[in-house]
Amino acid sequence: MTAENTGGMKKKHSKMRRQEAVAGWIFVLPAVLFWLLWFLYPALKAISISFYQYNYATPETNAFVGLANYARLFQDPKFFTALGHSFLMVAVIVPLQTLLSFAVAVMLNGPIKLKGFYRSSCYIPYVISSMAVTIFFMYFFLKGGPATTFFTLFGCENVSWFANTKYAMAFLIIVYVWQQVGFYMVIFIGALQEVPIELYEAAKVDGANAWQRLTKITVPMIKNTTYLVLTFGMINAFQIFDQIAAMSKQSPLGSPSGATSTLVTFLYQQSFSYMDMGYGSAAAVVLFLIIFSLSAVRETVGRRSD
Amino acid sequence: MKKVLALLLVLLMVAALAACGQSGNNSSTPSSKAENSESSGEESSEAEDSSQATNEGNSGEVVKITMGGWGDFNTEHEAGTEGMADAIGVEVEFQKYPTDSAFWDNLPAQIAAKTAPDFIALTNELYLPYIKDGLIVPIDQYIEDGTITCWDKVGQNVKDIWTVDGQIYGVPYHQTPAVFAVNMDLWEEAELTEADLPETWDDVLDACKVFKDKLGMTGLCFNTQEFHFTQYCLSYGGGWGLGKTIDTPENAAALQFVIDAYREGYVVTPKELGVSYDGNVIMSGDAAMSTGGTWYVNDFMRNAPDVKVKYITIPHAEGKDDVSGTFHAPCYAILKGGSHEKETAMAINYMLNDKLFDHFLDIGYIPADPEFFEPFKERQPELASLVDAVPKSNGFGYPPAGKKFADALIYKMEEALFNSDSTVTGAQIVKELQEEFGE
Repeated sequence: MTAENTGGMKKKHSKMRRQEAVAGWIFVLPAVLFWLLWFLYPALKAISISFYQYNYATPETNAFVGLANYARLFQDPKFFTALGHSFLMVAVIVPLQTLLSFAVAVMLNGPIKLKGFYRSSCYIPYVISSMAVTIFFMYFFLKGGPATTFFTLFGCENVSWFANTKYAMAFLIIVYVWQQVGFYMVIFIGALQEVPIELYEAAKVDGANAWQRLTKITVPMIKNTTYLVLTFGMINAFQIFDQIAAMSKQSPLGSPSGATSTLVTFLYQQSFSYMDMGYGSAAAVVLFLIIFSLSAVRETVGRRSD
Repeated sequence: MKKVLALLLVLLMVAALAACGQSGNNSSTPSSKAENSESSGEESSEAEDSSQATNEGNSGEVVKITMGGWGDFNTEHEAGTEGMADAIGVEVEFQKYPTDSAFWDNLPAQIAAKTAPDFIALTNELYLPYIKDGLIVPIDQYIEDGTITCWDKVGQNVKDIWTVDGQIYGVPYHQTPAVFAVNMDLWEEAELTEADLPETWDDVLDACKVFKDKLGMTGLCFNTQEFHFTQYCLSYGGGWGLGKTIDTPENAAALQFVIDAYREGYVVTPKELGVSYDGNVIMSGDAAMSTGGTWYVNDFMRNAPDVKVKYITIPHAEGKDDVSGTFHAPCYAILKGGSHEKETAMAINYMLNDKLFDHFLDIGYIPADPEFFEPFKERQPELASLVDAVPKSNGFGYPPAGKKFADALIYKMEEALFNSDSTVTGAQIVKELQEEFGE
């Protein structure tokens, strides 16, 4: 092959690469534009609004207030109540739904009959409207309802859980986890199917029991998926809204008595119910920073353990 | 081949984008307007053109404007719009919101996006912040220039409600006191008679004891909403006084009455039953009595025609014979940013006609025009006592913080009712509210 030929080949390759790159950009352009318009711009706008006393219905009254909204936020006990509830929910929901979905995935990945039926049954709650699921559960947890009666066996009071300040949060967590488990189960099943069967066979030959195979092979092999589930689970748990809205009905969001208020309901109320968009945006920025920081921590921990 | 394929895909993408753009344009065509409530802004600009044409007398085109509200507002107000297009060249389309909270939560954003209705059915409850924020257009100029003449028809007490700081913000169309509804089927089952119908809150409590002893049920339904709390406070001789009189012994006693009755097991709340409307509790027979409004009449007629209900005036505290609950005096209010303010004023003036008032008589609303008081008594004999309750009733008088105050009141009362360990008292609640929202 002559130098001329090699140079010609290189040129051809480089032209092809350019063309491919251009084609690639054309294909992703709509998605990028969509993202810029619908995600990045609103996010930047929210950050900007958080420095204003802002009412979008009366723009003539808007005024730059610097960090005043943030200062107000960190002196507002309702904000801290909402923040506490958000963290509590994440702390309970994320491990609970991860463990449950992993357990269900392991069971449904084994050699059982009607596997498809069980998998579909577990996934269906995820595709049902959150509002419908919540209202459905409310009838179970009415005073004297079947679930309420069952829990009285464990010392719980016979009250409508969703209307009681002591039980509303537990009700919310139960509804949410029940609905989400199917989704994360599917992700785990996908990961489990990627684990080479030979590893299990070798472990069996070496005398490992089922528990050892689970903890020494399955768990480490699907570690990345578990991280993904934890991250998704955390972000979604911070953003729960529909179930709270369904529980609150005509009462203020977070009802009863703010027992289910979260950062999201707090920012929604401030922005839309009280038309205090600047203050609500400040809460949104804080929520973003929390989610971003926790995701970064998770990413760092994941990398280190790799 | 790749080039051809890439070119083809680009062409397809451009065509798809063009189609999207085309579809966006179509959304503002008149045929889709009625279906797409979000398009009212575009609709407005079109209608503005036709309005100008009409005003110039060059065309017979009708100006379309929209009216926003929730619940059954469209069926309630249709009668007022009959023949409007022919008479004044304006047509009203109704933009319905599922709930009042959806209405209020969406409205500011719609005003900003210029997709809000031209005018709304605004109640005299949490309206002050919207007036304060400038979302409602004062109508003084339209009264002065003779566009709105119906203002003269309405009673002085409702005129006062809608005159804020010397400016008029809406034309009220009815003035209906709150009611106390009694499920007479249950009442008779508990062996109570019409003579036992309560006049005071102590009478209510006595009836509750009978219901508990004889039928083993809660007698009173109490919906944890600001509307219902206010009935109790006013009928105890209290009230919010626009934030000036929150912390009063009367308000404290009223809230304490509710708390005590609940803790005694005489009260059930719709929330605990998984519903949001007190009327549902009376319909289902989970309680026999509730504070409510004359909207019950229409609602029960349609949804529970077999349930026998008696509507009486709101009971009062012992020794407070001269007080009652609230009255609703909703109005037609023009929203900021509409393209057809003048036409909207014309439409409002037209809507306040005898046909509308006559329809109100049928559905249990006392028209804002006092001339219809006597016809109301004849048409609704079971609600006749409400007309006499009008002078004793009051506006809601919420502090200017409006919804923020209402939410705080609800939260505090929910804490007192729905936390079995709570020791919160009515006095504490009104004290805290006064500190936060007092004027």
